[in-house]
Amino acid sequence: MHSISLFEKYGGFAALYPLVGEFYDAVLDSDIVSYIFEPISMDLLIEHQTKFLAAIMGGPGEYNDEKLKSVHRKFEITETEWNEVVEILINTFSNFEIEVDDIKTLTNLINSKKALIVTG
Amino acid sequence: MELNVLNKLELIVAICDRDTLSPSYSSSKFKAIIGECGEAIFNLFEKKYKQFSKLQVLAVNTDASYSFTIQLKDDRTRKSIKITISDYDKDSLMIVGEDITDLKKLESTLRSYSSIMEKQEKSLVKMAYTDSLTGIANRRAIFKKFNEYTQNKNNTKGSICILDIDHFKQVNDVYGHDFGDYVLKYFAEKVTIELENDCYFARIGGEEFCVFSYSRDSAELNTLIDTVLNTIKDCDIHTPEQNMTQISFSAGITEYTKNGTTLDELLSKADKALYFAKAAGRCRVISFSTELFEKRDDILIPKFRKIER
Repeated sequence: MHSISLFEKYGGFAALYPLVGEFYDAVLDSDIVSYIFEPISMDLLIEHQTKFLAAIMGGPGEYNDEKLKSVHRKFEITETEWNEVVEILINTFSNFEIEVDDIKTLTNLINSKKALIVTG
Repeated sequence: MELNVLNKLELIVAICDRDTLSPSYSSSKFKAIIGECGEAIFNLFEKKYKQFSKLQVLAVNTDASYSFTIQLKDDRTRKSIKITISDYDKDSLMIVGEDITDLKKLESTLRSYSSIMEKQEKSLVKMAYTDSLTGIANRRAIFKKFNEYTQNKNNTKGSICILDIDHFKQVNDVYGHDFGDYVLKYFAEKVTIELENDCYFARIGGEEFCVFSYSRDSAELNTLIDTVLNTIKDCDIHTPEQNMTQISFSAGITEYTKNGTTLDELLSKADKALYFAKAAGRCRVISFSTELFEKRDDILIPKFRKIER
């Protein structure tokens, strides 16, 4: 039996909109990682964040491993920076009352991409 | 006193000289976000908004204002501020800033949703018209194609052919369904290669396929399908036991000659011709004609439904 995705469970795009908004503000507000996101235009950044978040929550967004790797390479992202963004994401999820177990599931999913992103 | 209200409301507003932009008033929020009025403001606008033009500032009058959007940082967050420079009085201009960050964010998110949705929709449409096993068009697709074709009244020369793989049930029974699926895929691929550009090819049932030619009469399509049959029956297919086997098909053809004929009517005629092909020993292509029925009605029709295809 097909179970509903986290995307559907938490209200689809209507819920994702404020979530993306908060995640966007939070990464730009971080002393550690804002410099990475600062030069990227609002449109582009929100576009990527929407597609990525919708996709990891099992919704209709998209990303692929190759692309994830190639777009992050030039930033030479370090372990510390990675941890910061993951923490921001977890905080954002908690603020939107996503259940602890679901956050764990999402965190595991995201951590499985770590090797593609952390190159610094 | 009055202007303190503007500070309390945190409005981004300034009144300044028309030419020099030197301020006669600026609200505290204006100073905080944009800075002190004057030459520096011009520089900031120029830096943040590439198309900024002083000429347009000078052209501001009671009828025309000048608006543009700039991105600034307020504290630590990024803000989109819409600047409107408008007429205040004879010597001064009013500069009003409006925080449209949320609006912009909403706009960007909506844009990315709609791009996701567009993509989704495209893939759904594609899925709806594709046979998932073979990847060629499905029954729904050929009906759509036929409808499009008949919309154009000039289209009167076309033909339909139903192809049915011979002894497919035995293939499934002897070698299993996986091999059966493989045969269907193999068949779809081979026929696609052999067909020409005026042909639309779809899987319309289990082992039943349909070719719709936009430009051939039944004799011309018959010739083409005969060639396809010759190629198909010469192909060696590896069975799961690594033996070689061959397949063939039987086909029935009918022509579209009259506006208003439906695909169902044509398929039913082609199907009758197909039964003749099966009854006459399979591995052949037969075109539908009324004579065909006159001649063979008595002999073949009673047998039709008994024949195992």
